[in-house]
Amino acid sequence: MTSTYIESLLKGVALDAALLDVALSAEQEVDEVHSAGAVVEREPDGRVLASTSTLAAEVDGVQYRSGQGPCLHAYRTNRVVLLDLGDDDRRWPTFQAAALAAGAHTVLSVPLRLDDVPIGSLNLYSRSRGAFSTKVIRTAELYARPAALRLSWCGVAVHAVDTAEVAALELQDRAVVERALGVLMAVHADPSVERARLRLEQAAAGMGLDLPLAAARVVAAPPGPAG
Amino acid sequence: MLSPDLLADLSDWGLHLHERSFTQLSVDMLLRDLRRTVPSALGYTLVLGLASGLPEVSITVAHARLTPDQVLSSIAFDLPVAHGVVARVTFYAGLECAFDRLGDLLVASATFGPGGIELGRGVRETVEPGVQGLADYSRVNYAVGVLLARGKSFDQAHAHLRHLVEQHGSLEAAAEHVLLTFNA
Repeated sequence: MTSTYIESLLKGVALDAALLDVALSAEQEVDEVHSAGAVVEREPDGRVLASTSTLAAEVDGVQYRSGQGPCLHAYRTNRVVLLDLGDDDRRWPTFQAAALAAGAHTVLSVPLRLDDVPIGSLNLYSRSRGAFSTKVIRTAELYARPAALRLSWCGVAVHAVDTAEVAALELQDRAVVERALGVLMAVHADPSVERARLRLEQAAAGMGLDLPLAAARVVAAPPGPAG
Repeated sequence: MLSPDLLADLSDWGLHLHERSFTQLSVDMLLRDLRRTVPSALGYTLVLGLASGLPEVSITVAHARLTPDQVLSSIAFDLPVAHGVVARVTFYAGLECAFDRLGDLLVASATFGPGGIELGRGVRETVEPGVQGLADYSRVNYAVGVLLARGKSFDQAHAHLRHLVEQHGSLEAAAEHVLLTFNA
C-alpha cells in the first residue's frame, strides 16, 4: 500500500525507538488506554513493532501471525476500527479470543499516516467494557496524526544517508573520469582539460562505452605517449 | 527553488557524468523533506570525504545565504554511508530548539547514535549555498592521472603527492605542482 518514496523514508532502524515512543505516549495521553502497540508495515523489509506491555505485545502477535485483526484492517483500509469484544461483531475470532484471554475488552485501532499515506496503525487496548467514546476516538485520531508525522524524523535522517550515498557514488565516478583526463593530458602533453575531455569522449564513442566506463579503462591501462 | 549559485555548481558537478547525475534531484528532495518535517528549517550542509586521501567536498543546500542572525538552531550528525566514505550532515533552522526531537531519536537509534550528534544554537559565520571543494578535488584527480601516465601505480601516485605536500604545504598545492610540471 505504501509508495516507494514513503518506503524509502521508513528504512531506518530508528523506527523502533520512534514507535515505542508513540505507543508509550498514547498509553499515557489517551483516556481508558491500558496497553498500546504501534506497527509500521515496511515493504519488502517487513513490519516494525513496538508495545508498552505484554498485553499489546501478545495480542498484536496473535494478530500478525494470523494475518487478521482490527489493527491490520485499520492499516489496510485507512479507517479507524473500534471493537467491543462483548458485542456480536465476530469478524476476527482468533484475535478476539486472544484479546479476551489477555484481559482486553475494547480495542481501538487508528491508522498511522505519513503524508496521508497509511504506513501502519496505533493500537489501543482497554480493560474496560464499552471504552473509547466518540470524543476519545477523536483524540486518538488527532493524536495519531502528529504521532505518525514524528516518524518522518527518522525518514529525514535516512533520506540524508541516501542523498550522501548518491553524491558519494557520483564523486567516485567523477574521480575516475578526472584521473582519465589527467592521463590524457599527460599522454598528449596538453594541459587543456576541455581537450582531454573531448579526447575521452571520442575514445568512449569508439569503444561504445559511456564516459565513466571508458575512463576506467584509460586509468587501468594508460596509453603510451602520443606520437 | 535552490539558489542560483548552487544550481550552477551542481551543473558543474554533473559535467563529467554525461548528464546522468542524480545529485541535484536528491539534494532538492532532501531539502523539501526537511522543510516538510521542520517548517522552520532553512537548509543543510552535506560534507563528503572519500577515504582515498582526496579533499573534502561539501554541498550547502538552501534557497539563499544563511546569516548568523537567521540560524537559531542546528544539528550535525555522521551519516552511515557505505563504500568507505565519511559523510556528515548539518541541518539549519530559524527557530530555537528545532532539532531537539530529532536529536533524541538519533541518540536512541542504533544506526546514527549516540556518538557524533551535535545540537547547536546557530552558526558563527554566514553559510553560502553551493558546492565547496569540488575544484580542488578535481585538480588532485587530474594530478593522479598525470602520475598514472608516468607509469606510477595508484598507490605510488598518492605516495608521491603526499611527499610533495611536505614541500608545498597542502595537497592542493602539491597537485598544482604536478599539473604545472607534467609536460616538462
